[in-house]
Amino acid sequence: MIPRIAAGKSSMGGTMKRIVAVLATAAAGCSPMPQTAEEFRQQIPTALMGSVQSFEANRPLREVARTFQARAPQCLSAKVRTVSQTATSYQVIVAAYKPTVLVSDAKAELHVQRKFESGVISPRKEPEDGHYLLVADATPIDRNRTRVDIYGPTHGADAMIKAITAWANGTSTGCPDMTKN
Amino acid sequence: MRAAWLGILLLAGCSGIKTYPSDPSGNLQARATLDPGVKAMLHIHRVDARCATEYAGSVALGAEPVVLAVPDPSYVVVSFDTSSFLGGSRSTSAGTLLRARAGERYQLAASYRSDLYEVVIRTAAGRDVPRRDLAACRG
Repeated sequence: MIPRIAAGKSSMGGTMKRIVAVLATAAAGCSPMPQTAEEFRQQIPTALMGSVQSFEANRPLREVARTFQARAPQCLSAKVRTVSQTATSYQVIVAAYKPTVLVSDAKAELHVQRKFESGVISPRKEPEDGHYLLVADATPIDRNRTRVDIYGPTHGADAMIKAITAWANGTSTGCPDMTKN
Repeated sequence: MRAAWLGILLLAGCSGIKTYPSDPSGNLQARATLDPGVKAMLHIHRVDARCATEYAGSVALGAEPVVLAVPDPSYVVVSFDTSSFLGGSRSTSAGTLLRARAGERYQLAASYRSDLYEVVIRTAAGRDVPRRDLAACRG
């Protein structure tokens, strides 16, 4: 199986990303940026553009965890190059995504960080692998069911959230098109 | 009109994309299941003894299977291209080093549905071929 984004790019599709980046920057001016996954969990529920999505998956925690471990490194470790070009401007943004999966008997965590390698200046202190973009927690309800909580932005991670939801439910092992985030 | 055709021909010649020849007796059969508006291409790169790659050609993927003869080893890349009025044009690709064993036939199935994509290579016996980075060439 080879699904993994080797590279991606989009042309003239960066308007929404720039808006999100500007809003994120403005929000950063109001509160400190999360430096850990736990800080991210605490800030997202009250953040202007944050959301928590929760659902139950009809699969045991160990299966959900195994899917996260198998798919996240192949699908979410990616670089996305966005080119925005008009008659008077040319902008290139390179974003590097880094997934981390932590598994214990009681929980499976999937963290995704994003670091802009060019085109965006981060005004606040940034964790080494980039700002936290999304955190998904899977915890057991019983032997056959798992609760999944996904902390992330209201916009800008749609494809990733769709993929993680499908991985947890066991409906797809497909990778998200990271240029659609 | 002539100028338009000349322009098209020049663009085609300068794009760098060349067609990889189909071969009914080849060792790799490939097909794709795609959302409307999504285009998929399979790009074949030769890999030499120093693990350097050389672009060999590309073919468009669709519901109809194509059969190719790919060398051992090859670096095969599937790219998915989407475009929309507001979203612009986007391209996502997935690649793997393929060590095609002599006499073995492989099937590549690519899919792109609702912003999720998958590329799977299997042997004729149905065994999944794990993805390998190009760096695995040195291993």
